[in-house]
Order: sequence, then structure tokens, then C-alpha cells
Amino acid sequence: MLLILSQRTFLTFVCFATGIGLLITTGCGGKTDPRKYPIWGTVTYQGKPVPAGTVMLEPDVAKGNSGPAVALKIRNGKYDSRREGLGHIGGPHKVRITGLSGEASGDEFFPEGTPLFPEWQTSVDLPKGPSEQNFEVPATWIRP
Amino acid sequence: MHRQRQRGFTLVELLVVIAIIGILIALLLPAVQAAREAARRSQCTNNLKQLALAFHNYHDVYQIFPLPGMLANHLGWTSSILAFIEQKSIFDEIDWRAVPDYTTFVNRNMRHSTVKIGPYLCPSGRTMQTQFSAENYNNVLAFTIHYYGILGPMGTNPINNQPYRCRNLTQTFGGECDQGILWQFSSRFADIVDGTSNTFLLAELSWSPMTKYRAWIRGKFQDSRGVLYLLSKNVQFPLNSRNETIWNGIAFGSEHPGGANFALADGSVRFVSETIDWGTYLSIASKDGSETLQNF
Repeated sequence: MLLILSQRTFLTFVCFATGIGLLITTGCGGKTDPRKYPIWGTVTYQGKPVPAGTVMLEPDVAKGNSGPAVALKIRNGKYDSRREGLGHIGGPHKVRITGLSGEASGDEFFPEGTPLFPEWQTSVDLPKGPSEQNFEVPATWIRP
Repeated sequence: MHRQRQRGFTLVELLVVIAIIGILIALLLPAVQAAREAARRSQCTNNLKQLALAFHNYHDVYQIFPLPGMLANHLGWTSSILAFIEQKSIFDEIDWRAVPDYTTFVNRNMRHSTVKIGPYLCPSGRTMQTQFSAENYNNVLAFTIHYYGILGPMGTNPINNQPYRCRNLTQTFGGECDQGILWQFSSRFADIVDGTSNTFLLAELSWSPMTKYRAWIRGKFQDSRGVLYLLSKNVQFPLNSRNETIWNGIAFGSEHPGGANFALADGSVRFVSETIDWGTYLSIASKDGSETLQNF
């Protein structure tokens, strides 16, 4: 009986101490990164998903938006800021998309493949909240 | 006859003691790690400062900053400034003659890159060597570099909404921008019209995993896919975005939490936050964009 009681008090003590420890190490402060609105979607080119590349969202200064930009990785035609623990700041943005072929070039230079098309730009007004945005790079946008 | 009282600890007492010690260590460990990282970061800042001073001394002698890279001999600024960072012995050994091809360059100069040049590496970085196994000499892998010049910003000038000057953007290596200090033909102090305190000279690129670290001796390369700058980069992706999709525009960044170190052209070193305003980031990267700067 005594043993059970002491085990229980021991367990309580351990839980308490771990809790305090976690509080001390993590603290109460949150992140100050203003890029907090999640975004996800697909990127296609000539009807096919883009194997690799980047969706870059930069606040459009010409339309009165400013703040930090964010670059999200494309994997198999999809990008997802939640996967990278990031987001955007909302408002008008310029979107710059680069796409890679996904096939290694065979030498030291391009393990993820060479660019499929020149960087493509568009603009989008992003909501201050989670959203899905799908991008289709025009099939006529080709490398010279 | 009664039993003798056993000396020593019970199991529970032992467990409690071990648990308390464990908790104390768990509390201490993050603090110790943070202190170690702080020490590495200050070494990292110091290295960048040394390089900025070397650039200034180079400019004092030659009236221009070193070139980011030369196609004729594949060398770049890392070789040019060696005499200004106490590495004159390597400087004297380097073969500066023009080379007909990359293989000749490797045969003549790759061996120098197996020497670890302290100021070229940030101790917080996890990748100290080239990520291309062919860059070795007698099976010793070449060392890489964690500090890069800036070819120029890519995008829109936030003040006048004009695009920053960039060329050959459809090339496979990503093209090059022209408004940074270490652009194709490099700059003099007189070219930095935005002011030396408002313009980046060198930037830290020490994050991992990154597949494009190469031997520090390599400056510039060219083939049918365009021109590749190995020691100077476009500013086209956000700080710490860990983006390496475009060779000439690999994102600057570090393993330090929250940002990376930058040397300004006046020789000072600043820790820049990864949440820096995008327009401000581009503005500091350009030497002649006439942008007014907020605090950064």
C-alpha cells in the first residue's frame, strides 16, 4: 500500500516537474512572423503537374501591399505552406513560378532537373485567411 | 531475533533521484546548446567581418572590388583576396593563366581548395565540404564557402516600380542581375550611390541540406546552358527560404534561428531577420536603385 502511494506521488512529481520544465524551455511567447495565412494548391504546365520548383509570393508594392515574401516548394504538382510551417501576409501579391523537369541532368548541376519554362509571373489578391490557389502556367510560355 | 535493518537506498528513492537529475539535465541542455550556438554565431559574424575588411583592403590597392568570377581562368574573388586574409602562400601558388576547359582548371588549381580557409566557413553551418564528389585532390574533398557576393536584386524597385536590371533570365543557370556590388564587372566605391551603409557587400549562405555547395576555388563556369556564378548570387528568393531551384539565385540563409549575417559595403556586419520586408531586402541588395530605406 505504501509502495503504491509512493509510486503515485512519484509519478505526480515527475509529471509536475516535466510540465514546469516544458514551460521554462518553450516559454509563453509566440512567433512574431507575420506570414501566418496558409495557402496550398496545384501548379500545372501543358496539362501536366510541375514535378518540382517554386511558388514565390511577394507583396505587390504597386498595389499598396508590403511585408516579407515567401517561397514555397512544388512537389509533384502540389505546393502547401502548411507542410513548411509558413504562410503569407494576405493582400495583393505578385506570384513568380519556376518549374523544374524533375529529371536529373546527369552531371553535377541539376539533380532536380532543368527549368521547364522561364519564370512565369502573375498576380493574385490573397485573402487574410487560409486559401487554395491553383496556378496554370500557359502552354505557350516556353524557353527560347 | 529481529531482522537487521538494510542499509542503502530503496528502488523508489533511486528512481526519484535519477528522475530529478534527468530533469535538471533536460533543463540545462537547451541553455548549453544555445550558448554554444551563440559562440559559433559570433565566430561566424567575425569571419564575415574579416572578409569585408579584406575587400576594403583589396579596394585600397586596386581601386575596385574583386571580380565575382573570371571565365578565362575559372577563378573568383576567393582567390583574389587571399593575400588580404593572411593566405599569401596559397595566393602565390595559384595558377592564374587562362584555361581552355574545366578539366585543365581542375588539374591546375583544385588542390588549393582542399585547404580549409577559416574565414570562408561559418561554424554554425553543417556542410563544410563540396557536395560534388569529383572536386577532390588525392581523395581529399575540397572545402566550400559560406559567404557569397551579390550579383543584384531581381524584381521590382519598391520606390519607382521599375524592374531591377537583370539579363539572360531564360538561361538554364538562371541569368544574372547587374545592380549588386559583385556583379559581372564588379564595382568601385564610387558606383555605390545608394551609400555604403545601405548596400550589401557579402551575404551568408550556410544552410543545410543544400546540394549546390562547391569548392571555394571555383568562381565562374560557362557551357551551352549559360553562365554560372559560383561565388555571387542574385537576390530573388526570401532569406532563409532554403530555395535552391535557380543556380544563380540560391536563397541566402543560415542555421542561426531567425535570419542570417550580411556584410554591408561600409564594412559593418548585420544580422538580418528572415521576416525583413521584401522591398527593403531588394533595396539593400542594389547599389544604385535610389531607394529610401526604412530601418532593417
